[in-house]
Amino acid sequence: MSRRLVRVEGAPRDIAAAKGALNSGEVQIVEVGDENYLEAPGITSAPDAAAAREFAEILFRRLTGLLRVEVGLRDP
Amino acid sequence: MHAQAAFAVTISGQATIDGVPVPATKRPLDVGLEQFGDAYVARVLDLLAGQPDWMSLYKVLDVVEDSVGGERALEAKGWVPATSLKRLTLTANAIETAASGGRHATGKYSLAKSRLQPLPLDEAWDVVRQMVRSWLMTRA
Repeated sequence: MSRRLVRVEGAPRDIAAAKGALNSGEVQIVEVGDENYLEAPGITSAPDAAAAREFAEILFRRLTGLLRVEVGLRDP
Repeated sequence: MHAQAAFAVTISGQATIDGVPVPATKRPLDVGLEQFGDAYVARVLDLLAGQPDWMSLYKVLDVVEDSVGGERALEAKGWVPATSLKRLTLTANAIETAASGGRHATGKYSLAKSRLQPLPLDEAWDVVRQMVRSWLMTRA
């Protein structure tokens, strides 16, 4: 199964906080070159690119909510 | 002469299962990630995804209240002071807040008619954040 990653954009401070908060789980923000990407089992295991995108959109939204609560981000 | 030595033993490291690190203590973040399938959790996280405003914070309060069995039940949890929840509700609904994203534009709810102090939006966010962190831990 090929690895699927979704590019993450945001303020460097917020991305650093998100990386730190997610450093021990299956959902992670990883660096590839100069870019940051979200990696999650649900994205990688999606049957096709459209399903991966749909899952990633939901994951991004809920992860943003979670990170606001966990690390107090106001402008992720 | 015998020398006595004091030994300090420090154990450190990360527990793993099949190579995957296991957090020592679950955080609200961990529970939230595990409980995306929980309809209440999903609704709260969706509401928190946008910039916090009176509409979204009040709706989060609404969902959490509903999930625990109502206003009184939520207050009884003691996650945040009951007065803070009442001030949040008052301010979110007050006509004086209408121009800054409040929920209503009629005089049914008014800061002027209440003995409670209004809650600034920043403080409302802190109250909701603290409440949601405690609530998430109960959804594990």
